Amino acid sequence: MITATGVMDNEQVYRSYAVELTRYATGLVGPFDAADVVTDACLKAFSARKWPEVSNRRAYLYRAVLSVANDHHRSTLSRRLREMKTATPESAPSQDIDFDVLGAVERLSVQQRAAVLLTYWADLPAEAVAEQMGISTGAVKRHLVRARKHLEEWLS
Amino acid sequence: MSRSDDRKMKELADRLVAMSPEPPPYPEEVSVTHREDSKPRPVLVFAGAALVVLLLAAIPIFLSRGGGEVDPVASSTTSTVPTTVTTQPQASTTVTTEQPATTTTVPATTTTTAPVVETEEAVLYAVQTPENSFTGNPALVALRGVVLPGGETLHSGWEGLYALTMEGLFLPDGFANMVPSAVDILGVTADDHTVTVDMNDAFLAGSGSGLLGDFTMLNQLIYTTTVQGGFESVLFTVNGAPVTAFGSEGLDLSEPQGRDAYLDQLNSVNVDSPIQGIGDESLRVAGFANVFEATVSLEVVDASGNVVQEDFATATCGTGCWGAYEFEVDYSFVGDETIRVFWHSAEDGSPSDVVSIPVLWDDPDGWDFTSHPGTP
Repeated sequence: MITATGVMDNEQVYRSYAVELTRYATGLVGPFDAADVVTDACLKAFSARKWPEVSNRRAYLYRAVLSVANDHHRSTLSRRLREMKTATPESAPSQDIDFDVLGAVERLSVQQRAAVLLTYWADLPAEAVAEQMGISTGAVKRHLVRARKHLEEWLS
Repeated sequence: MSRSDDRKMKELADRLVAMSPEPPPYPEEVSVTHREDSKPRPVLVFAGAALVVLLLAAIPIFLSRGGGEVDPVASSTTSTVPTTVTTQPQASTTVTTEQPATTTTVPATTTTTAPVVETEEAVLYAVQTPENSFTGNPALVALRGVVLPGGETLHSGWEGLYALTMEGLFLPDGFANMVPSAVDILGVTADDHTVTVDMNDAFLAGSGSGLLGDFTMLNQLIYTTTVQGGFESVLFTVNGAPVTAFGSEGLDLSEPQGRDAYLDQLNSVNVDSPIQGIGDESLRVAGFANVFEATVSLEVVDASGNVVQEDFATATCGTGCWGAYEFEVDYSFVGDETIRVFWHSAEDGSPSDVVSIPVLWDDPDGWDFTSHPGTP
């Protein structure tokens, strides 16, 4: 897994970050499609020409997950929630679903979710969130303000 | 924001992440994936109305062989009979670009129901002449819409590229296509990073409108081809041979062309994200720009011409270099608004190089690229 030069191969990189990437993806697109998003993002990253030269692979993979999640239509989470609510117990996913939280988060855009997650789950300062998302610090703050506006009811 | 709100936000983030499933297994096979949608979308191929009629006529025969397991077609339900037409795989290269089996699904309806003409989603880059342009260079704008199926397997997965060479391509007002309709795609293959597009002889003549038109045509083709799958460059060939003399000035295209090849022949502000949305979503407007102090401005203009919202964003680079910019616009769109993206002139503050894009709202299909009167 570790090559002779000490550089992690793709599989090792994947195993190192798969858990946290899946958590991040869960926050971005919900638990139902998180695994697909992580798989797509990793395939994209590993096949990128510049991948071998990437020094911060963790950050790169986080960006890849956000990029794939951006293409994932936001209404998919709402649809999945509706399906879940009408699903028979046998067909329901095994993991516990927090409908209260997902119901609140479905009102946010993927970018707003990313700003919330990186700020409150990853505990990153606004500058680091901005760098991670590839946007300005002001944009991060705007995302957070708008997210809080959408979450007003939940927060109260 | 209160500390209580902060605590609640953290609780929300933690509870959200707590629902995380097990990580997926390591993706052993690194293959090139197509990005347009995360969900797999069957590629539909119609060889024209005659084929549809033939397939519809074949349904009763098919059903009668099924031993009555399928409900009678007289039913008005939406049950379908999958009729699979598997096409020859494309001339393959070293990669594992997955070509889904081409499938035509014919609705099993009564003969009183008109056959549903399936369409395919396409993302293409169209051209706009910006207002108050500094350079006179055209802007590239991504548009998402639908086209009728190409009818040839080589177009599968490259609908946007196909659409650019389609006769009768319909674009919204204010947008143009610099690819002459005489240009045809003979084949498309891909490896990990490069897409090879084989064209007919008409490609060699270029846009027919001078060097800037040729650059614009190439930009449209390169950006449209690389909009999906993480591809980085495009190699153009004509009848399988390298192109050493293209367009009015005989440009050498024998090497793969990346997205940065002709950047400086573009407007200083370009838009990468199709301007459409649904419901109460915010609207994402993203693109690339090379503007003074990297400051890109945006306006939402309503149907009466009033500016109802303004915003600005900082691109990742500016004043002499190209950077990515992004807006998230929170506004109650109804679909008759226009988004204007520009930069403020350093001399007099006036909006410069303005790109104007009509907003499509609650219209998931996007533009109908084939609705031009007289389209075959």
